[in-house]
Formats: sequence, C-alpha cells, structure tokens
Amino acid sequence: MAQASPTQDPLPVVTPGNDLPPLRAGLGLALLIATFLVAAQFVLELTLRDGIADPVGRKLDLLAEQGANVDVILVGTSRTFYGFDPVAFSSGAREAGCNWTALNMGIAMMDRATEAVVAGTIADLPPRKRIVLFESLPLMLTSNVSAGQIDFGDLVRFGRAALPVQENRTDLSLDILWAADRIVASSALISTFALTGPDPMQPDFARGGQLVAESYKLAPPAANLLVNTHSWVSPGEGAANFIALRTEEIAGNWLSGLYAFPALSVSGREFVLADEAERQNLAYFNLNADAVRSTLTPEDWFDTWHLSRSGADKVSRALGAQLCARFGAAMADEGN
Amino acid sequence: MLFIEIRYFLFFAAFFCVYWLLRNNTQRKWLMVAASYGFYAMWDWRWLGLLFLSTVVSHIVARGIFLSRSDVERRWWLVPSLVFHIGMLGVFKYFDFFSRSFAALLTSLGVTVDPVILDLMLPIGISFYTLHNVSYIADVYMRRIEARESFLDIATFVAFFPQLVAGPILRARQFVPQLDTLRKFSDVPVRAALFLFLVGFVKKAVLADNIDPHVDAVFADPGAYTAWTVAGTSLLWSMQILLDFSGYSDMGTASAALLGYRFPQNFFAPHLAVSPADYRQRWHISLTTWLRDYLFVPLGGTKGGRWRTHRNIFIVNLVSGIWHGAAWTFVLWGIFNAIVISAQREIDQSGFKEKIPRALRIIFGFAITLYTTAWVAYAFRADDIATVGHMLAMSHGLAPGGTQSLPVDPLLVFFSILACQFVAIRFNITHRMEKMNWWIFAVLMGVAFALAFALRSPFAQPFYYFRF
Repeated sequence: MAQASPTQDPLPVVTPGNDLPPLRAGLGLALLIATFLVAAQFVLELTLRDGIADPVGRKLDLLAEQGANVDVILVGTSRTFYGFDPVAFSSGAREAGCNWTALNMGIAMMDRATEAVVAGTIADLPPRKRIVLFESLPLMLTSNVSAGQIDFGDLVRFGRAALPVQENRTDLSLDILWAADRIVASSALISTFALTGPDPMQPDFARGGQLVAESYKLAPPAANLLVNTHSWVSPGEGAANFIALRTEEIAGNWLSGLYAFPALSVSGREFVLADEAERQNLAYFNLNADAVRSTLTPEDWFDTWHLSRSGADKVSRALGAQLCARFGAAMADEGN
Repeated sequence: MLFIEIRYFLFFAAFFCVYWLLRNNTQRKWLMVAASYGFYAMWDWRWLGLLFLSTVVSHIVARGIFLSRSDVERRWWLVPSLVFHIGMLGVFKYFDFFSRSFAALLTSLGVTVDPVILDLMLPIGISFYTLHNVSYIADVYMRRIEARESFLDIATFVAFFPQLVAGPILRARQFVPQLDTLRKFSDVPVRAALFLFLVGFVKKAVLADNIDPHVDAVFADPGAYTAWTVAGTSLLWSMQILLDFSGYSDMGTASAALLGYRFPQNFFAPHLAVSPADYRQRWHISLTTWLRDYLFVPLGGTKGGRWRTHRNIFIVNLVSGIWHGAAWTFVLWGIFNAIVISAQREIDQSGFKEKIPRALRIIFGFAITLYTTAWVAYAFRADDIATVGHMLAMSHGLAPGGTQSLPVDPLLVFFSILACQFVAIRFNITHRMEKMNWWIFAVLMGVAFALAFALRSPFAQPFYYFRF
C-alpha cells in the first residue's frame, strides 16, 4: 500500500526560469484548445451515432410507420411527450363529433434541428389533409441552445430529480433521461463551440439508429436558415414564420397551428406567441390559459413542467374537443 | 458556478489573462477579491454581506489580539469573536436541528412544545470560511502568526475563489505569506496544474456523477437489493464521495496553482490506508489537521491518560460529524469513527500488532480499514438512523435482502478505481507531467479533455460538500 504522506505537495515545485515563457505557454494553450475542438468533433461523431440516435430514431420510426394514417400530429418537447395522450385525444375528439386518430411526436429536449427533421418527415408522408401542431419550441431555444448555454440545474430539475414523484412511467422516463443525456452532452458542445460538420448529410429515415445523428449535423445550417430567412425578430414571430414556411412547403396538405402545454411555471412566451399567431392568422391553442388548466390538481402533475398520466388524459381530451371545433369542418371536406 | 461548467472555464480564462497582465501585487489582490466575490455572488449574492462581515470581524479581532498588552485583554477579544463565528454557523446550520431535537426530547418526556423553526437557507461555503476565520484568529491568539495590517490580505485569504465554497480549509499561515510577493508565471507548474485539473474533472464529472444514480437507487430502496449489492454499494459510495470532494480539491488546487499559489494536499488515496487512523490522516486532511490543532490538542490530546484520550477522540469525531451536517446520521457517523479510532488505539497500545508479520499486518489492516469504511459510510449517506441500521443488518446477513442488483458489480468499479489511484501514486504521474514536452502535452490534454467532456454525466450534481 502507498504510505501516508499528508505533507506531500500535490504539485511539483518548478525551478524559476523554466521552459515556459508566457509566449510559449500561450501558444501551447492555444494548441490545447484547438486540439480539444478537433478531438471533440470526432468524439461527438461517435457519441451521436451511438447515443442520440435511438430515442429520437424510434419516434421517427413511429412517424414513418403510422404517420400516413393519422389525422393529427403534435410535434413538441417533453411537455408533449408526457402530456399528450393520443388515445384520450381521440376519445375527446370523438365525443365532439370527429373520428380522428393522433400521434405523439413529443421528444425530450427537442431542438430546432430535430423539429426540422420531424417536419420534413411529415412532409414526406403521402399527401392528405392532416392537422399538424407545433409546440412553442423556438421560444425555448432562443434562451438556451442558440445562446450556447445549458443549465445543469435545469437538467437536474427536469431529469433525475423528477423521478421520485413519477407514477407508472418508468419506461417513458428512462427514454427521456437517455435522450436528454446524449443530446445535452452533445448539443452543449455543438452550440458552445459551433462544432459543425462540413457537409450536412441527408438523413436516412429507414434507419432509426443513424437518423438523428444526422439531424445534429443539420443543426447549425437549419438554425441559420431560420435566423437568416426570417430575421428572427422576436421569438413569437420566429415561431410563426417557421410554421408558415412549413405550411407553404407542403402546399396545403396541413392544417397547422401552434400550441402550448400547461406548465406550473408559466412564462410570458405563450402570450407573445398567441399574439403573433393571431397576427399571422395561425391557429393557436394555449392550454395554459383555457378552462382545462384550472381543472388540474396536484395529482395531474409529474413535475413542474410535465403532466402526469391523469393530467395528460384531461388535457388531451380537451384538446381533442377544441381541435374538432376548429378544424372539424375543414377536415370533413377532405373526407377524414 | 461549478468548476466543471463551461462558464467556469470562461470565467477562469478571463481572470487568468487579466491577472497575469497586471504587474502590481496590490492590484492583483484587489482583482482576486473582486473576482472571488463575483464568483460567490453567482451562487447567491444575498450572502455576500455575511462573508464580508465575517472577514471584517476577523480582521478587527486579530488586530485587537495582536495589539493587546495582556493575556486577559487578548481573551476579551478572542471569546466574543469565537461566539460570533461559531454562533453564526450555529444559527444558520444547526438552530432548526437542535430546536426540533429539543422539542422531540421534551415530547418524549411528556411535555409537548412547538419547536421554533427559523427555516433559514444555509449560506454556501459558510462551514468552510468560518473555519478559515477561526483558524486565523486562533493562530494570532496562540502567537503562531502576526495579525496582518492589510485588510485586503485577509479578504483575499477568506474569499479566494478556488477554495471559497468547499475548501480545502486553508490556514492563514499557509496562504497569507504567499500574498506578500508578486507571483511569477515562470514559477507556475503549468503542465502539472492542467493535468491536476483534468484529473479533478474526471473524478467529479465522469466518475462520481456517473456512479451517483446507482448509489442513489440502492440507498433509496435498500431492501430491494441483495446483501452483496448493499455492502458493495456502501464501499462504492465511500469512493464516490471521495471522488466528488477530492475532485473539487484538485480543481481548486490546480486553479490556484495556475495563478501561482499553492494549496496543501487535502486527500491522499484514503482507501489505500492500512489502518483506520491512517485513513483519517489521508481523508480531508485540511479538516482533520484543523480539528487536531484547534480542538484535540487544546483539549489535552493524548497527554491526559488513557480515558481522557478516548474522551478527546470522541469529542473531536463528534464535532467532525456535526460539522458535516445537522442530522442524527452525521452524529452517528462521528460516533462510529470515534469507536473505530479508539478501538485501533487500544489494539496499538496492546502490542498485539507487533506479533504479526508485517505483510500480513498490512493486508489485514487494509481489509479491516475497508470494512470499517464501508459500515461507517452508511451513516454518511442514509436518510435516517433506521436505514443505517437496516443496511448494516442486511450487509451482515442479519436482515433479509431483496433480489435486485446493479448493472455493474459495485466492488468491481470500486477496485478498478482503487487500482488507478495506486498506479497514479506509485508512478507519481502528476509530477511526471511537468517534465513532458510542452507541445505533446498540449495535444494530449486537448484530446483528453474532449474525451472527458463526452464521457461526463449530463446530470451534473453540485459538489457534495457544498451542502456542508
């Protein structure tokens, strides 16, 4: 065993006048940082390929398999992942007179790039009239990914810290945690150091394992497209423009809109978005501000930001009824 | 702002550049104080006043003691200042605990009272900077050092950001003299410091934070796991807390070294110790020596005979336990440690060890140290004493275990990390790094940091010792 030596100095004493004058030291540190950036790129490639792909890939597989036949698709963050129950939604819509099916495309830690890939996948589905709603995602991203900041405190709050209060959602939580794990580990580096691949690669939607890794290669160009094309004046306007672009791209096959899911901590962004959506004549469903929000009890919450199973049931039923009232006639014209 | 966050890297890089560009020592000290207060404010600016007040009190009291003409006068300065510092710590950290405990005691005697609960938030780092202040005053009182005329020196000593919120617990006589001279960049062991920072980063962000969920799961529901898993997790937990805390110390020491300052060794691979007392000398050395110098020795140390020595060991370990946290589990942890240290002392005094061959003595000592470390560790993590008892009983086969186990054998992880520690010490890796070719070193470090970033846990936990 190593003998105890509490007085041992943790660091060596350097003889004055060593081989590191400031200029040489500075150049070496610059080399260290440059090596770090290059090495991080390679490490990220490996991490992305092995880590991120699966959770998002599975969602995209689901979209590819079932998307052609569903009437309503909700694209959003973990708030959607937790809070949108397609079965309850269908039930609520049916009670309101619409026989619709739905798909939950909520993905934990969703960012603009992944959302763009999801939207692209929807656009590739066989043409038909369908309702595609987007969560107010771009607003969230303006304060973290684009600023290159990942709040570790948020991770703790949204991730593992929420586990003790979960109810029957182990599998879902693990998916979320795993996705968050890899996505955050990687996007923190990407966004902070702008580590972009030289050539955006075309994702292979048939291979879930590699799909989302490719989506991260698309991340900065996609973000740049949004910022440059739409000036990104305000979060609300950016979001609305994004939807407008998507709607235009698929030439009327979508009835699109925005929505905000309930959260205990309500920020002003829902209201900014509502104003902008109204100005753009987009449908906007603010479930944070309507009647269903007041019916939620403590049992309906999984944590500060996410609904539990019972909360998801209430909100999804209400959304089904609202969407039926708003889009029922238009969808009926198409024979849905 | 954690040492493992990118914003700390940016903060430190900016500070590093400005610091070395300054050519005046006083300007550097002002910069250090301003940056340290800024660093603290990023945690919680509301407690800046408390930090400043405690520094002002220490400075005034130390000057008062130093300029006093009689011992009585010196004592008049000392006692109120200790009451202030210990009292401040007591109010913020222990008031609610003792209030609840006292009320519970009265209730058990048939007198029902509502405890007075202040529900104060614990100012981060208060346990550490209180000990800094007390050691400074005590050293001046014991005439080990002279009181500084410069308030700036004391403010820098108390608030210096690499050690502000979680140590190591510096003594004024170790650190303040370093402030007298303008630090030269040519004296900085740049390679060793950068390597030490990387080691600390890996310990904390890659190892400790990735181990945490597994340890958490077992301590949350120990009854669901096999006895072997529970026992192994206890050792793994003791390794996790070591990696967490020594990782912080390493990064703090490295940060200070890159600015030209030296901190004392705070950990020396305690799991390689060959006796419980040896373990204590390797674990949180700055606290252990603080308690030795300012509590154990003033109580009489080992000079008052057998039972007085055991009493002093008990008091010191009890205080150590309570210092770590206001909970009965920490009290129990302190008592466990006292029992182990006292038992070892009795065995040492009996001469029994000398009859055993040296190799066998080392192996036996190593095994018994790990064993005691494992069961003492239960008290450091468990939520309550009942859980400690349950886990102890389970790991000794006295209570039924469950069927679950962790994905990786905790003992395998534990001994793998231990082997790395042994190699690092045996080959003195940190010191060797300083001799490496600078350009090769820079490339290797860039690659190593990239790997460490990729492997770190995304669920970064605040350093465990921040809560103390």
